Amino acid sequence: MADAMAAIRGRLPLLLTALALVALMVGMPTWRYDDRPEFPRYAISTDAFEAKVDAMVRDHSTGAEEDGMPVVHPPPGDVYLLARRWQFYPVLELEAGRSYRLHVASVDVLHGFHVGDVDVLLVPGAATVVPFNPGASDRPVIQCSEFCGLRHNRMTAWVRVVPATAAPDQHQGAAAGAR
Amino acid sequence: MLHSRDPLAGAPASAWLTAYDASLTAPLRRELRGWSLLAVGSLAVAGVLALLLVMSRTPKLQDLLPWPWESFFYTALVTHVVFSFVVWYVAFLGAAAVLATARSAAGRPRLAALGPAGLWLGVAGAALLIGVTLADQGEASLNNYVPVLSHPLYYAGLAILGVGVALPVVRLLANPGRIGDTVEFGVAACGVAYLVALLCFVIAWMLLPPGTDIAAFNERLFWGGGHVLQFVNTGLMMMAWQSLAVMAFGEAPVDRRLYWLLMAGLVVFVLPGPIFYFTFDILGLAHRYAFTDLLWYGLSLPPAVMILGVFVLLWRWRGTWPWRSPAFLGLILSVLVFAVGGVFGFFLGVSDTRTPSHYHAVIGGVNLAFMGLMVALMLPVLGRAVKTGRWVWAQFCLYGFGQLLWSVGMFLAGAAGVPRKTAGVEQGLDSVGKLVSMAMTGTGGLIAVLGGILFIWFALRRLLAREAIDG
Repeated sequence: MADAMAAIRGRLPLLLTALALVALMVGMPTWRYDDRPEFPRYAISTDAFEAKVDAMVRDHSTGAEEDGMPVVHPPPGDVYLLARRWQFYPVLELEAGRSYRLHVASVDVLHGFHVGDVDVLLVPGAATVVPFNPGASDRPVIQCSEFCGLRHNRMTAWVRVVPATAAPDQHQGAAAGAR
Repeated sequence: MLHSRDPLAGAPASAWLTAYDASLTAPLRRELRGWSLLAVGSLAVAGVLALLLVMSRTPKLQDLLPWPWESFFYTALVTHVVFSFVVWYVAFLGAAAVLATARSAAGRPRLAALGPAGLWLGVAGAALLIGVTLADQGEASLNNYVPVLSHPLYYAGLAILGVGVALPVVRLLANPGRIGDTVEFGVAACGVAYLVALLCFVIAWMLLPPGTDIAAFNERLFWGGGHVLQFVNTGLMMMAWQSLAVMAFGEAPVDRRLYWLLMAGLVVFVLPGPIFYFTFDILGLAHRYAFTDLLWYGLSLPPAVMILGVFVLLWRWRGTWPWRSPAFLGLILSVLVFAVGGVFGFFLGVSDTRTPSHYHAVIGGVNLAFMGLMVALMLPVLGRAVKTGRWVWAQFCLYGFGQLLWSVGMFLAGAAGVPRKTAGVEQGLDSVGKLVSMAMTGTGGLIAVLGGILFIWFALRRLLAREAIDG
């Protein structure tokens, strides 16, 4: 009996490692895919999407600029953000505690949209809708997560988060059907 | 767990050297020297390119370059990375495959001609990469794992190098050795993983649609195979740990069967790699995540178990650590730096500098293990041992602790909120904590570079010496 126990003890690291390896192999296909959220996508031509972005910039520009790009302060609801080499356009100024739906699309090549835990591949010809609710202390940074060329590393954008200026639900209804 | 029945386990370093010395025939010795020269030489090339990088960014000096410095900066950067992280690693695999073949075939391998053919192809591939770089041809693409210059000859150089390394690997697999031998089985397992990586590259090349944007093309061409190559590097590092421990203490950190299981585990995990290309769109997000998951799930446990084994071994031998032994220095510093990098891996944030802190530490760990095996085994069996004095001690310590300082500084900076891949005011160094941690990073990097230069100097000097005389 003592010999058997000693033999088991001697092989314990081997057995435990084998079990852990098998668990990892079996678990790999299932564990990570479950917690990756899917975001709604819709087809849209690059021209049509650029037109929506231009309209938003025209209607909601603050007059300020950052790195040569206009800063816009759209109302809560649908917001349009364009990805192209090597920038996210325009600079967004959003209110803390409000709910936004970011419509993000690439107008040239494959890009990635990464902010917080959200990671979306942006294929030209389609827009993805991502819910976005900035907190008061947030300084969200949007990054391109798909290599897109020499300055890919610099393709980042900080979202300006400012205190809310009106009742939270004031713009929600009007913006909901904007798409 | 602590006792190994490796044929050479329990033997002091001199017995290892004798065993390899007996099986290294003259042709195999030439091959081993050739691959070792290519491996260490690639680091020297990377170092020269690093100097050219600095020149291309320095006013006045940049005018001395025969190339337009604006474009040459990126051209040199690509090839600097390729030689530091691709050529150095795969050439080391070539050297390890020759060493393993010498033992497994007792100096008389089947398909012997594959060895010299592979070496010549490897050298030709590396020469082509340098040629395209110096001719300032092709657009630089800093994609993940294998950055490239988008020029047909650069892709050809990489392909020729890849095939060149595959030939001694195939020869090793055609001369199967003892399953209980650390080097023979370990290198063979890494060799299988290497062939899987090559298969991934080939499948990706065939599946990528014509007209794909060049950035996306390069990224997805090297994404899957690049991930699989990390299994090769980690496997070789684990083989080096097991060998260095036996050379330093006469005792292996993990049992022969456990070592076999860990190495086999690495191979089993890379096997789905080629299948992913047919189950996920090569340009899709799922394809990207599938290989990331492969790394997360397949590459965590095996080195962690070995690190545990090394820690137990070091604890058992506490008080008698052979501080002047290159085998010991390579082992302990590699395990330390790699383990720190592994722990940092659990705190990854995409947007801050904790991510580079992780991968620089694990790369540093791999480098230290390879440096250890080069100085403690490969150079001595070639009769070109480096004198184990304070300079060798300094080399390992400078590189090891420099890497550690660099990575810890990066980690602390990231935790304080410094974004990655930024420079100057974009870093937002607005607190003492951020400034101190970034200063740590800079100092650590400088110290590590000094250690790297010492290694290249020692190893190249001995490898290039006309006569193979120890000392």
